[in-house]
Amino acid sequence: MTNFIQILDIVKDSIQSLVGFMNSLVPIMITLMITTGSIVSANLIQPIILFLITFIGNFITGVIIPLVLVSTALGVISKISDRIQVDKLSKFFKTSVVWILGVTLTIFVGVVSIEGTLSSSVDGITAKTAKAAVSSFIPVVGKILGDAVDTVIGCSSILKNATGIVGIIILIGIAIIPIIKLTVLMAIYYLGAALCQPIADEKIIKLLDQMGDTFKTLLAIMCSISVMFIIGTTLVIKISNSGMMYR
Amino acid sequence: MKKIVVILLILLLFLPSFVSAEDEIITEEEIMQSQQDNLDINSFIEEADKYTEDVYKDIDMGELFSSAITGDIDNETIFKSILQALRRRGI
Repeated sequence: MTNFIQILDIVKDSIQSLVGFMNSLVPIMITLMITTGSIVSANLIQPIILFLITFIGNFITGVIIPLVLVSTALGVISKISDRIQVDKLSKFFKTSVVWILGVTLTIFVGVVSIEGTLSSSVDGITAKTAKAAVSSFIPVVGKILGDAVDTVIGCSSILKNATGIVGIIILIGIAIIPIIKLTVLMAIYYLGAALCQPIADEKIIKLLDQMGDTFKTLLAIMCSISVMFIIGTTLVIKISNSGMMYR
Repeated sequence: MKKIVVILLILLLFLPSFVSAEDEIITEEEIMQSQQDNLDINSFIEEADKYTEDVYKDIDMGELFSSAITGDIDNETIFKSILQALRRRGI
């Protein structure tokens, strides 16, 4: 049980680190987006992304993980005791957790990609118009200025992509250790249950299985939140890159 | 009065105007470096280093960023670091 509490703490800490890092990554990405001319996308995406990241992080640490804890407690009680049977309630909580995670992931990716797709076209056209205006309305040096704008936007785009890539690598670095730990623990509990089956009592086997299931749910939480943030960062990179295609 | 204005105008026209053009060519690297400084990306990289001290011990985030700019990321070192973490923590 000490092991279980430690793992819960590790998962909570990692989620908070992921959210904290995203809160420092998103503003710099948005600033870089603005320097590439994606002003509409940046204005639309920044509040949505920051709100969703903070909300989802708090929701998982404040609601989902306690639900997993309750579900495990109920499951353990049902497996140990013959009189108290709350197995179905435990299963209900576990299924709810999986469903909530799925819906959250879909909402995050859906909202970010739809907003980005709409705004990137507007940004592309605006940047193209601005460049055309600079090139044709300013006499003599108009074309040179237009080309200079192009170069600066291109350089900003390279910087933005590099920052995004570094961000993704760091996100993987934050999430990988808890994911490894959870995978190993889950495998150990399932293996333990399989090895003990011929020699141990049925209740112990079910208990080990239950703990394995709990670690599996925690692993799902960790994987989904890290994948969600990685997809979010990639979408931010892609949105402003697609706006650049119009130039 | 009119004469004075005309003389002044003529003087203004004949005043030598010096225009100097420096043949300094700003390269893409310089533009990127200046933007990197203006947007404070270096402090972000320092901040990022703190989050991954445990996993990427052999990787300097500044170097990783420079290699990402040129599109030449050393995936092998990243995989090695992850495998080392797997060995250290898991197995």
